[in-house]
Amino acid sequence: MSQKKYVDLKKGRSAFLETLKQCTFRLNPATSTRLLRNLSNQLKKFSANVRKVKIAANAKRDEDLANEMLGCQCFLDALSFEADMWIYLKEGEPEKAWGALVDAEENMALSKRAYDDEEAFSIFQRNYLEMEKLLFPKLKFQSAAFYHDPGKCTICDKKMADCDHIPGKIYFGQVCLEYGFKTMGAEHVALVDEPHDRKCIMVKYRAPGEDWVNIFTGETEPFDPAKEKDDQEHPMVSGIIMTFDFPPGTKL
Amino acid sequence: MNEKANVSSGSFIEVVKEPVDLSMLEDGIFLLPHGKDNEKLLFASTSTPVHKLLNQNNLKISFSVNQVENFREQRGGDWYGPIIFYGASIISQNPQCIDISLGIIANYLSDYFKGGVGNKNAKLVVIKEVTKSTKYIRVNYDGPIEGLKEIPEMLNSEESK
Repeated sequence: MSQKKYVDLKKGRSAFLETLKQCTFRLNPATSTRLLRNLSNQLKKFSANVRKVKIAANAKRDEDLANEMLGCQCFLDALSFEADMWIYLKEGEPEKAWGALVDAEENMALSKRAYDDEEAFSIFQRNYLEMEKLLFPKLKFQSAAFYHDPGKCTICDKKMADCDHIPGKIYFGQVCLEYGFKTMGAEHVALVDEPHDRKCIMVKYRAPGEDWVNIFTGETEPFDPAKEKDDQEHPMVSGIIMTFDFPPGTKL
Repeated sequence: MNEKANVSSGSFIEVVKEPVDLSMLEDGIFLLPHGKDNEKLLFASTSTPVHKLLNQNNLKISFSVNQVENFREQRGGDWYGPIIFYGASIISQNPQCIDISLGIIANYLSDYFKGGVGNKNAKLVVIKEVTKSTKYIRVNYDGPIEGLKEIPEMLNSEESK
């Protein structure tokens, strides 16, 4: 490791830990929306800079540094998503707030996997599952089962069966994932307590002949028979059964 | 019957309910299909990582995921593993092959789920050929990742009955 690289990383590390300390004080709903937005933007910029170091480490095949930077990047992204969650809640958009909390959870989990940074996790501690219970109603999750043809590997872009990368593992700061299916077919959707994707939730429901009830707010929303198919006999639900975003860390 | 697992034994037809012929399973370790879709065999999407994990740890699977055209993915919070078949000859050559492969899978899953929210279970089917083309034992496991290491004991216990 060159002297310059060592000094740069040391500076970056101090700035990272200082940012975490700042978040322990400012990352809460009492902070003004303006300052939370500033904090979220500041975290996003910091994360983008960390990503550049990660990409450079990946190019130089420095796996330890690349994984450390992935851990750091995901930690900053988790904090940024948490700031977004508080902003959405303060602005009366609980569904978006839920999505931001799930993004925070996923990034924090990957941060722990990529580089279990004891110092960082001792400075800033969060139990996102408890936060879910405190801030949101108990949600019903949905789990889809589907068929697909063989996909490609995010690490090397070869057909997944033809390379040595194992889906779910981290290689040089990047998570291996199978993607790029040409054909997909739905099999079923089930209600589950533990979903793969916590963004797959029921958002609203309605009894026959009545208006929709938003699960987050409890408020009613008008049902429009001209635009929506009606069912006069059975209760109806509306929600998310699948998302197609790349999970954190799967794109370098 | 174990709380986390359903254990059964019998002939090939009684135990191996998947669309596969005994003649297809010569010697070795195989991943079996879960069913068929439009005449194409359907394999769990986790067959690919399991195939690579075992192969990279010198447990050669006598079947290539290259041949699979159709995978079934279940987006539940649990891990839906493949059906793993261990032939009698491979067990006699390497008596620890079931223990070792389940240990490899358990380590992979512990890392995969590290730091995540909620309780994550593993679902996995293990079929052991006890005597060539005659007696088979099947464990349908659905429980915590740490419990995967108990499967060999479940197989042995059924075998000694």
